[in-house]
Amino acid sequence: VVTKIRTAHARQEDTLMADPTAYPDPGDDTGVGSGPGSPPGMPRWVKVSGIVVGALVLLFVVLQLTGVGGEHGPAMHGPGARASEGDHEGDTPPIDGAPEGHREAGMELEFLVTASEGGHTPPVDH
Amino acid sequence: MTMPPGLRKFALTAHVTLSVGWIGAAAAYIALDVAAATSQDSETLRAAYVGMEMIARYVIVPLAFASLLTGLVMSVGTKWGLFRHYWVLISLLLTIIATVVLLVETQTISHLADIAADPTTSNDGLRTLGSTLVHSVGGTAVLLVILVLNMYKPRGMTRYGWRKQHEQHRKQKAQRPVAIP
Repeated sequence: VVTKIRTAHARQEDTLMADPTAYPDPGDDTGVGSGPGSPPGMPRWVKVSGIVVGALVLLFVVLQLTGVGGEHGPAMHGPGARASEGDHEGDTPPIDGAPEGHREAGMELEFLVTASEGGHTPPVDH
Repeated sequence: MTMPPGLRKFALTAHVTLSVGWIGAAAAYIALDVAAATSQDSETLRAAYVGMEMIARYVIVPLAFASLLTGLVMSVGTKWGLFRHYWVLISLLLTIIATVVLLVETQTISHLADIAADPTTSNDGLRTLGSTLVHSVGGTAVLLVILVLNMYKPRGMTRYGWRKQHEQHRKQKAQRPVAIP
């Protein structure tokens, strides 16, 4: 009885612990049987995973090359990246430390806000 | 070079703790990343970016290296080996890739945190910083794949593993005493 309990305990430990249980077959579940003297083929789950990963990588490369996925890498972050996009739209927010053009746009915006709130009339040259 | 059971258990406990801790830390990071992506409040944004950097630099990166190291110890110190089974090999590759991407991404996060911590950065500047959600969510998905592989241990032996196993069988047969009738 003690031996049986020990064996059961050892089996349970083998399942839970990172020590291998001996696979009853060489691990080839490709459906193609390999002989006892030949090495096993690649399992189906590895092949399927490889195809899926390959397709995703290909999709990423295509998106990068076509420019649909946008810029990738550290340059895609930061105020400069989106501020330059905003330039084309004409709604660049004022950013401290931004290039001169951006500051001017911000000042113009601040002036308009102040004028509308405080009722100041902008100076007009006659 | 197989570890004795007591040491194996200790190493496994450390490996599971560190690896699951990595996933937990990534989840905490995602919460801040979502705040950075969606919030309009400048104080929340500043806190989120600074918090993201601290979690990434002082929790996630150390956990990643510790998890990789204990994983190597577990592989080499048990009969699973490092290159004998596909699930171990793929787990190793994914962990290395995740760690490399994490190191690159940490530089970006530090850059964002520096801008956010700068008092001269305007509120609009903060709102245009963006987030790292694609990397953080993608990275966590990779970690979950590794976790599933480690729990299920799908079958599949590499050619190298098969050769090693045959060598061991041959050695065992040679050592076995032959019964003489």
